[in-house]
Amino acid sequence: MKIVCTAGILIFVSAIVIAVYMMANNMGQAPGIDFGPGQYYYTDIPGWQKYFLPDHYDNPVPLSVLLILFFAWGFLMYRLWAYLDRKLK
Amino acid sequence: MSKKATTVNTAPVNDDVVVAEKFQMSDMLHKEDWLSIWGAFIIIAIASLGVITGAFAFKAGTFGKWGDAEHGSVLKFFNGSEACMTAWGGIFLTLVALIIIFAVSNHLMGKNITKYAVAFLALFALTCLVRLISSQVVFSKYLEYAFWALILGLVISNLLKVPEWLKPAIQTEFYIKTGLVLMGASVLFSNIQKFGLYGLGIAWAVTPVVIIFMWILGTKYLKMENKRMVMTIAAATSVCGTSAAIATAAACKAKKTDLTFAVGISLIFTVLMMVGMPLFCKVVAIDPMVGGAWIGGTVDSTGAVVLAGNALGELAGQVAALVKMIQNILIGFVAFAVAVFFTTKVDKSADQTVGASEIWHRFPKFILGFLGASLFFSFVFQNTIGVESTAKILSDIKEFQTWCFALAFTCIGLETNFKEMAEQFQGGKPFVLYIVGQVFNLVLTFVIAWLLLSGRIFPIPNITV
Repeated sequence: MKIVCTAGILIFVSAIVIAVYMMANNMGQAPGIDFGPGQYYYTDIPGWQKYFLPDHYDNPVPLSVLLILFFAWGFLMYRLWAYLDRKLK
Repeated sequence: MSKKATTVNTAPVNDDVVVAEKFQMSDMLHKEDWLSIWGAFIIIAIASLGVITGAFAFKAGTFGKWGDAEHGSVLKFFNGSEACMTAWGGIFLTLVALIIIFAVSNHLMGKNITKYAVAFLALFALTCLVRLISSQVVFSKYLEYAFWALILGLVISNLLKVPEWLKPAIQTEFYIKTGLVLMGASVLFSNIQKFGLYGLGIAWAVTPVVIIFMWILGTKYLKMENKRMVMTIAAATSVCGTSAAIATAAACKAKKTDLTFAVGISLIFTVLMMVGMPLFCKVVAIDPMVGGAWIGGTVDSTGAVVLAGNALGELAGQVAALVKMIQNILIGFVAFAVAVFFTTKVDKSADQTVGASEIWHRFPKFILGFLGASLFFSFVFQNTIGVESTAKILSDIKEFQTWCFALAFTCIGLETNFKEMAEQFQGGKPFVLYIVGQVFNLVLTFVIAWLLLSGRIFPIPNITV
């Protein structure tokens, strides 16, 4: 466990160094896009409507079906979470 | 995110756990959770009124970008120019609106309104400095306010001493809860239709599986004692980084250091993934649609998702945005599930049965405000005033949300000391949890994205760009 944790710390420290290098060199930027990871949430993005409002896909599945699937999967996963938490010690 | 201790049904509970007292109707006018809902609803109501009537615009002020030839120097905010007057004018109105809401709320909570107002002015000034620094061209793209608020707060609290008179305004939870209820309005549930079964499959099939995997890994195999930190890191990894970490930390009443750690590690790895994933997709020639969905489902910050997706091409950028948009919806439901799970499974003694009324007493009520705002905007506002007007309201209230979170992160920095943070490292276990969890997230999301979008099993969706 100690070796694994030490490896985790080393990876994290390396990640900081690489991230600082990337930021210092303005890496990962695309022409015409003036934002990045600092825009945590979708409404943080300048002009977010341009990216998120238009419909780019003609969805044939009714909303009710999607909602049923959404809640059914969520319920199942919640029960699985509670079950595994209780069973695994 | 508090350290107060109390008991329920005579069962002793952990020192880090807050358990609500029995609910009374008067709580709705005197308790922080409810006051955060009313405060946010007032902001939403005024902003909505402004957009619907067209008579005024109720939006918070902020600094424009600075720091390069195009945007000019930081001095433009101090030289009496138009940019200076616009920025400070808007920020002054923001201060007036927030100080009225928070000071009245503090009065209703039985606190000294004068001491609070004086302290809030100083806290707001510090937060202004945070927002000014984070408006610098490079900082605004990569790190923004959460990072700088934590840094500034940590420097003050660890090198200097936080003065007593400032402490009445250090109310992290209150600002976070208010910000989250404001955020709820922008969680448009109707967006679940934007990418149909494909989006639901990629965003929603993977997210809870990753949460469960990281929970089991953290609590059972790594044996991390701080379950709230495990939960906060799992939500940040599987849902959408900082926003999800804030909501989940509030829902499970995590420590401030737990949130600081989750946000910090998420920001660092987001930069790496934003740069690395499009490069990897190009090198191994991954289909743009699969690559875009992979990026949308795994990169934490929404801004980084759009950027990384577009680095892979216009189609990939659109698919990445669609998947991320559905993940953004999940924030409220994951926070709700986490609140129920911690209320009924974690914050109870082994022999205790938690009934429906007890769940209600303990449940963090601000989540109801979050979900209420989300459902109202999704199914009432959008259908009555239209998508464009709804988007305008969301744009107007967004900056208030950012101010609330920036105030909260400044408070977290002011309340945190390095020794306390070091104790939370637990020999490096949180790093292992994040790294292994993120690798699992990457693999599982890729498999699901490939199954759904490669055309081998299901038809390839027709995306217009």
